[in-house]
Amino acid sequence: MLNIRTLWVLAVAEMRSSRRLVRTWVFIAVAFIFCSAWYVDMVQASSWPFPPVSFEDDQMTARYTVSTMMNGFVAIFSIGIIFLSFDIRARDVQNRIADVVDSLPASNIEIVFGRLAGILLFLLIPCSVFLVLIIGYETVSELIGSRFRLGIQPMSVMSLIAWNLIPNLVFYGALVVCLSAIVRFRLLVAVIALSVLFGLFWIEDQIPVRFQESLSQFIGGALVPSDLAPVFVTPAIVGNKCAVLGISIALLLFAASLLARIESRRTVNAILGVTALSFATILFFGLIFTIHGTDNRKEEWVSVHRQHSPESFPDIQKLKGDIELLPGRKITLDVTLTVHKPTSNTTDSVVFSLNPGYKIQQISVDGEKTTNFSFAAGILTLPTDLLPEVSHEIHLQAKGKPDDRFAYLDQARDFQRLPNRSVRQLGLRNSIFHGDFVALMPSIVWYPISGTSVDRDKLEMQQRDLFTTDLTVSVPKKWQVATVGKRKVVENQKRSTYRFESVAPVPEIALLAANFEQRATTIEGVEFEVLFNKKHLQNLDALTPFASQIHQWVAQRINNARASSLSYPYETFYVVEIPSNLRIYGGGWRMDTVLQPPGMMLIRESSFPTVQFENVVVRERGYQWYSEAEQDQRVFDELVRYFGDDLLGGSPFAGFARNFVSHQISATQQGATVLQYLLDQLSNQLTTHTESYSIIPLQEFGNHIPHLGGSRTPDNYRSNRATQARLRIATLPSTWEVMDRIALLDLDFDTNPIPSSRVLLTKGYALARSMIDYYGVEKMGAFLEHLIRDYSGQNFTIQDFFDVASRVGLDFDEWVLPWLENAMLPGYLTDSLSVSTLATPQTDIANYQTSFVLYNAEPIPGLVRVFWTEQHEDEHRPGWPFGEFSRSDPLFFAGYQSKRIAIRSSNALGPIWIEPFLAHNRGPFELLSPQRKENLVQEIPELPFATEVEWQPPESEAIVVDDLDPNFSIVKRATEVENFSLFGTVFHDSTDEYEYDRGLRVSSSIRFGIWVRLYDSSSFGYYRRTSVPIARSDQSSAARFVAHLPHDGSWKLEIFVPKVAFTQRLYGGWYDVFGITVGDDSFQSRNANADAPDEHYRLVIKDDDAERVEKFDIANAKEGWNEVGSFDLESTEVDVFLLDWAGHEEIFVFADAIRWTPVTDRNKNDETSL
Amino acid sequence: MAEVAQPHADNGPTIDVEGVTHCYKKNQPVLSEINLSLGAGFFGLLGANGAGKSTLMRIICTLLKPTEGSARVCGFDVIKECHQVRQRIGYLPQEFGAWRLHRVEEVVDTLAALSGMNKKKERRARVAEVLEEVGLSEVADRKVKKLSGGMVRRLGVAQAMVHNPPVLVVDEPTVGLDPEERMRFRQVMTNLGRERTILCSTHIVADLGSGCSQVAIIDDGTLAFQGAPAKFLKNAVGSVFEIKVPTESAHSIESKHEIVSRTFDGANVVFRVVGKDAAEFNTDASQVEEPTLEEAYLAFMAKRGKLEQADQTETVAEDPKKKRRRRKNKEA
Repeated sequence: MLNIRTLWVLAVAEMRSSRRLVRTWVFIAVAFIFCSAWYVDMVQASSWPFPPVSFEDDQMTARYTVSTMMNGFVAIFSIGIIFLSFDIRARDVQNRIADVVDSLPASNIEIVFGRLAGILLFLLIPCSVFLVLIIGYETVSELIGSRFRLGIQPMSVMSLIAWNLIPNLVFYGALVVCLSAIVRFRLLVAVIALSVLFGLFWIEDQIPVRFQESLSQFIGGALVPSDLAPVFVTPAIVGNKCAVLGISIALLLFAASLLARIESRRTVNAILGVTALSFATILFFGLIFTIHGTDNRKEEWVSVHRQHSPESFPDIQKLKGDIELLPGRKITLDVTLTVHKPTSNTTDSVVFSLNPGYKIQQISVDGEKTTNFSFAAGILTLPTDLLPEVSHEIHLQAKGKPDDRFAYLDQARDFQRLPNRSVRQLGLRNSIFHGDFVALMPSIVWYPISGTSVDRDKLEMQQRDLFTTDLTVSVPKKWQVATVGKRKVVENQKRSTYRFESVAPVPEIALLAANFEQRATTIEGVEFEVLFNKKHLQNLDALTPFASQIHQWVAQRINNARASSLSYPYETFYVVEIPSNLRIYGGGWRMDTVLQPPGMMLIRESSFPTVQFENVVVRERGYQWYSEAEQDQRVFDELVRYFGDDLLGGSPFAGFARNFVSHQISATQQGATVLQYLLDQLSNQLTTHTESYSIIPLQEFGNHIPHLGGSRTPDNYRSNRATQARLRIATLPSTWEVMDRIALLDLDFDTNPIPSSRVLLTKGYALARSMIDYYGVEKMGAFLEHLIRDYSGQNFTIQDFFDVASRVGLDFDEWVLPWLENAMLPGYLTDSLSVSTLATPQTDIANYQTSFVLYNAEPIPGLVRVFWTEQHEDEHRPGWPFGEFSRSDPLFFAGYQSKRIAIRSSNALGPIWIEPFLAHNRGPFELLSPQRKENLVQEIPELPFATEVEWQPPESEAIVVDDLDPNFSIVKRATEVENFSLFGTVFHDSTDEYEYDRGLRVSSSIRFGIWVRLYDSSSFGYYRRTSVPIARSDQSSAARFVAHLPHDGSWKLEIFVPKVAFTQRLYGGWYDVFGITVGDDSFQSRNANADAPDEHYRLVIKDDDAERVEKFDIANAKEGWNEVGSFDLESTEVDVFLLDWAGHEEIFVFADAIRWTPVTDRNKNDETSL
Repeated sequence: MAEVAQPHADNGPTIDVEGVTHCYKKNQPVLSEINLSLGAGFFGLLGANGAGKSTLMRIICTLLKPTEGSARVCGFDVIKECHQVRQRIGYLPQEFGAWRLHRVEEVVDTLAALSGMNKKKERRARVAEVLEEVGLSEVADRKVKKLSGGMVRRLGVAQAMVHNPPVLVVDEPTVGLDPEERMRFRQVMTNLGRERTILCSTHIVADLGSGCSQVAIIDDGTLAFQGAPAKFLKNAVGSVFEIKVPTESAHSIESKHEIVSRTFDGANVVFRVVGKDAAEFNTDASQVEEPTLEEAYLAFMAKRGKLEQADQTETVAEDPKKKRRRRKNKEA
């Protein structure tokens, strides 16, 4: 059918033609420029160990993503093949050689195949040259020690060529050849081919992740390269590429059939083309059905597992036995389970789970072999009759290769159904059982566990089984193994055999094995063992000079724990490098990180092991103005920051801390999830004092969490991104909407996982922090220690939790219980502060005393902290939260309790801020500025820092309408400013992309053209302070304040102007490309000009049917309340409209609050302020 | 000279056209019921422009499917067994170009390889030989786009015969060639025609030369004549006359009669004209006993009342492009 010689001759002729076309060289030049730019960009991007900042970012070092990031490279060459082949036939006609070629004894198939092969081979030359140049450059860079390189992973390049480049070029080439056989106009051929190319690119972005390996044209994106467990090909990839090849062949056969040349095999070609197309279609459908088959299989498993009641789940006390690993082939289990039969068992069988990839060879109970068991769909059942006593030993022998699909059977969100390519960066394989690497994660149930494999994180429904271990693991010689417990070498001859024993209980076991490079050290009695791939030691080596800092840091954490009476229970802590393709998020409602199993921390190979940390060392060593010790500290700080910001888990902070408490005990029944989370938070805050992204469940993946502002304090504005993310979540109105309604113990994680986990994150963190700050580290440590001692390996209830607390002298009923049981929170008010000179000033220490009353206006107790700074004359200091602030210890406020706070200082104070740990105020808020020296109240006695006083908010006849009140709204108007009478309906800007607070979009900044709610401490508010500004309006709306007055008559109207209204600054931004501004949405604000007649706020007061337009002189206004005027009102319901236009686009309008005060003789000159 | 490459399928005629009719548009046949049977030798195909010569050649060369009838080359059907036919033909189209960016040698080598010359060494030698034959050795390394029109034509001849096909179909091979090249071409064709079939369509009747073993005339899509040149010439005897008149009377002859050629003999002009008999000329006219092929062709067409069309048949080689342009201008 095909004569190879003919094909080759045609290919050579076509290569010759292509080589001599000017457009070819233009294209190659453009491609080289683009590809070189990409490469340089990738190298630069990976030069520094930036941790990922968003789930959407490319999380991996470029080393692993060449095949993905080079999709542009493939696209360029795909466009290239279109432009080289779109006139393949027309060129012959133009050259008047078409008749000669057509009269040659070459078949149509040979002609189309041969010529396409020529173009393809020719295009592969510049591709190869480019790749060879890069690899050459990389090799030379490595030899000369240059750090400006990627360290491209070889499999990544092979994957690029084999799965992305060649198949795409063949496909697009075949498409163009086919089109040029059908369509006479070559330009139309190019247009159609390019449309198909861009269309397929668009489709590529719509393919759910689980189908990408089977359907994607860029397999490199679906196949995550790895040095540890390299995978070059999978059955799905073979199927995918065979299908693409089938389509390409079909297109070429159609081209051969449709070519305007007499051919006796036309029909045969057409039939073969249809056959090839059918083959490809069947293959694609086969791949899709295979995936659907997996889904169905999982659904069946879930269904089977859900049929079993927790009452039939035994309590495994100990797992002991031998595990033989033949990597990539099979596992042999020979284990003994010490089990307690279910205490309240009403069923006739006990239930275990085990991966269905195993075949059970033998089971014996207390030494008696039995065949009276069933094992199907991963469920192993034994008749209850076999377990007549309380405790039994079940011996199980099984062999097989675990089925990777049998994992995470229930999960709140199936990311792999999303088309988001970033999902693959969370890992796609539930476990790794590769010839070079074994990662047996607990999720695949590689060892027998109690109960079923579903609902395991629904602690309220079913207890978490905790057990001790004594495992002997046999692996190929020279392999290392990491699992829970200290490793002891049993044998190291033909195979390596290790024994791991853990007397401390664990809820699950991960087992990792490979031919690792092992680095070990002992710190404060805990053995730390780092197991990295032998090729990934550069950072370990680069950081060797900083080992003492690392030791100190770790020792500090262990000592922190010791100070809290906590100790590391598993003797050895393993830090193990894992392949990037291993899934890092769990199942259930929370989808927690899986990188922190007991006794170890897993680090993805694409993160710390391969980022170029040595660059940091070199950079810091170059800063000669720092001493060596300072340089060391800076490098170390960068290391700590890197791990704190590691979005994809692998953080030592939360993971290490979990071992001290929450891996050893488990909460059960009502509030179990909250209590378990509280234990995590307590142990983390007591040991590491640092948050990591592990605190944020990965079910948040893809959710945009906006920064709404208003939550930072001097303690956390420099904190890592994990803390920033928590603060963002804590500021979201949607979080508060749930938190204001539902108590912690009543949260429904199953039905409403995301809002519930956000509330848990916010309130759970605040509660844990409050508990430590209020009760103290020592007492809280003692509490945890008692809890572990009493309930190690067992489950405890909330009552047990409180009982243990009372045994160590902690009264949790005082406020921990109300916080757990109530949706209510404290809310703080202050009165105006006063500044005095002290009657008997202590020289050089304190001349001034600033005092104010702080009042918890809610029945729920809470804690606050006070921040202040001294005001120095003529000195500009950074403000909140960036400046240096003094801070108080946490102050406890019972419900409705008020305290007078007195701060002594040598200078008058600057801003004073109150930071509630968690309150209706929703964030830190500022007191009104203290008065200046000349207004001081003279000579008062010295007061303690905090004194309980009787204080209530002063009663007032004033009617205040704030922007958070229901009587505030934004309305659209229909007529011009000066002819203001008709208003439309309430205006809502409704899109789901933004956060809304009381119907208004929340923004951290002023937006032009729309009213937004701004969280701003200088604004007016009862608990929380917000205002509603607008910039550059189109004069089509107004803010409406509706006041219900107790009586008509004469009333004074005041308007509150926040400090931010007097801030002159530039908003928005502009975009530069090579220094040229290509987009500019910046806008400037300024204060109103008192001399400009138009520059004032416009108010319309609607009283009964009367409307009056009032001007408010914003140019001469001051921060706070400003009088608009007094009015004789005829009705008790008065509308005040604040129009959106203040006479100039640079003067923004702030709608914050209005106040109506009855005008009487008594309060005519009253200067009351709240 | 190399051996002829491909054998016949049977012992029948090399080119056998039976009842071939071809219509580009419905009911407007370009060829009508053509029957042609050719064995080895140099076969001249004559006809006016648009008579259907190139269409017939394209059918024979498997480029066009006849509307009706069949054609066989070396015993193979041009439609059903086109591959075998293609293995046995060399084709020079009327309008030949080549890959402009390829060198002369590369073009011939590529086409030779595609024609089945697989042995590289032999092919190279043959390419050199054939380029020598057509006088392109000197420019073997030159790119096609830098060749003159004549050189491109010669390149076309070279590619058609490089693989020694048993059948050579050449459409207007001498267009654009200078007289010397034309003579050489005639010689080459004569030599080749001894052992293979050459079907040559030409406007230049004289180019058929002495090597031509048979001629066929296509007129309005029908085969008007097929036979040996001698027979064709014999038929013309009595239809071609020679008239000798003074120069000043030449105009009267030119305006009344179809002039085949004129020569000057001192104060006289000697005309060769086509006519029915000597009586129709007012002056002394002598019958030409040995008319040329060109005169015979004109006489033949005159008999069929197609002298005007026959006149369009070039007696001087003209570049096809120029010819097309001129024809367009004329039509305009």
